[in-house]
Parts: sequence; C-alpha cells; structure tokens
Amino acid sequence: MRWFWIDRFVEFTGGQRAVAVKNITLSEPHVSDYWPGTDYLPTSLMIEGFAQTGGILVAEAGGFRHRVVLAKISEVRISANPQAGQTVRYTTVLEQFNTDGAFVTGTADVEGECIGQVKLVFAHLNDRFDAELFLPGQLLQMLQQWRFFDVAQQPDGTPSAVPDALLADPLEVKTAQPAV
Amino acid sequence: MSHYNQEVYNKISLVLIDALGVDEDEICPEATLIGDLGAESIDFLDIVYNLEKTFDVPIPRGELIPDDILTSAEFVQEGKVTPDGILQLKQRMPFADLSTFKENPVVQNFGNLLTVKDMCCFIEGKLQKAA
Repeated sequence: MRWFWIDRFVEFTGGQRAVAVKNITLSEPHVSDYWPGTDYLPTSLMIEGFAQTGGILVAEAGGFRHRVVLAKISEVRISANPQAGQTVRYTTVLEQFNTDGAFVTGTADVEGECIGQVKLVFAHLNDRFDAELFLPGQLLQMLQQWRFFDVAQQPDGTPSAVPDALLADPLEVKTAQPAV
Repeated sequence: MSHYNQEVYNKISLVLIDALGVDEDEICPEATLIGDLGAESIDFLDIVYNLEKTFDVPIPRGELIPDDILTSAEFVQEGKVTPDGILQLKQRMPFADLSTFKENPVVQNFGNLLTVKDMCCFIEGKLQKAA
C-alpha cells in the first residue's frame, strides 16, 4: 500500500504550478469511518493532498535530485471538507525555491468553490539525514500512476520528459533471501 | 546599531507572529528568535521568505545567518569559532551584537544570538542598500 492522497495530476507547469485531483469515495475507511454519518475527507488528509501536489512541484523544480519533505504548515484554512462522491482539486503554486527548500501556496476547490488554502514550507534534506525516502524507481512509478507525464510541461510548453535522476537507479524488487 | 525604525519593527513583528505562532506581547526588541520565541531551523526558511515578500528585498542564503562560516573547518575548531572566524562574522553581520558570543564562541550557542532588534537592523541595512 502506498500513501496516495491524490489520484492524478491534471495540470503541471514545471517550476510554477501543479494541479491534482482526488475523488472521494465511501469505500475509503477514513471517509466512511472517521466521523460516522458525515462521510467526508478529514482535514489532515486534505493537507496530505496539498503536500503531495506541492511536494512533486518542488521535487520537479530540483530535477528530482533532492529529498523533499514537508517541513512546516505555515498556514491552513479549511472552510469545508469534500464529501463522498465529490472531487477535490488541489492547486499549488511554487512561490520560492532555493537550495534549502521551497515555499508553496495552495488552494482546494470542489465544483469551483474554494474550500481550503495553505502555505507550506518544504525542506531539502541535507547530508545529516541519511534516510532514503524513495528508490528512484518507486517515485517514477508513482508519477506514472498519477499520470504526471500526460500533463507535465515546462513553462515554454515543452512536454516534460522522465528526469535522468529517476532513471539512474531502476526499481529494485527486494526478495527474501533464504537462510544459509 | 542601537536604534531601529518602528515601522520596520512592526512589520517584522507581524512576520514573526505568522511564522512562529507567537503572541504580539511576546515580541520585544531584545527577544531572541530561538531562545525566547521558539524558532526552529526550518522557521528561518519561512521567516526569510516572508521578509523578502514584506520588504521586497532579496535575502541570499547565508546573509542573515552565515552558516558557511559556522560550518567551516577553517573558522571553527573544537566546536568554537576561532578569532579569525569572529572577524568574519563581524564583517558579515554588522547588524548583530557579537560581544556576548565572543566571550564563549561555542557554535551551538550561535543560534540563540539573533534578536528581533538585530533583524530590524539587518532589514534596515538591506533597505538602505536598495534605495
């Protein structure tokens, strides 16, 4: 199981803006069981949706060479939660990018009505942290599942190609080794 | 620099209230960002970004906190900033009062040096250069 809080990208302009959608369904236990009888996407998981949409925007701006993590939720305003049967659309804008990290703003809307706004700070993990967040192949697979390459383009309109950094180390399938 | 512009101070206070979630009455000129206001390293990304937006001045990395000096093998030995390192810091941080830090220049203590007043002086210097 992966931690997917968006279903697909619908717009992506490298270094500038990313838009992704998530369909809310009753078959998700966090929707049907979080507050029985209400059937909505909890706010914390909306923030995850913003973070995934904005996080990929930040990662792409750095050529997918940095380990990007959500470091701080500077501001969040949620006026309504999307209900089962609705589609939430996350729009994120890259406000600033530097070697330390990035600043992203975002809005969420359902059927054209704005229901949330965030300001997020992302950090690039430095050498003090040796944890691997993804194998490059895993991240590439996630991008493909999100239909990222169907919509991603550069500001001049050129379609975005699979970045070299994600091709460097193909997905490894770890298998149990027999005991000797 | 011991004086600061009240308008700059007020704007910086708003940035700090937003970035650190502190109350207005917690902010005073002598308050240190880390020790008194609870700033963490990641907050400085947020603070610098909002200072740039508020005052419309670019703040290159390392200008507010010259971490290249603080992590340099040349200027830091056995966890302390060397006399040459202190000179470098003075040149790079004319807005900050380094006198207390200089007495026991342990790098770990550096983070608690910067005060709200220092931030004001830093921004005023940037605004004067930009004018």
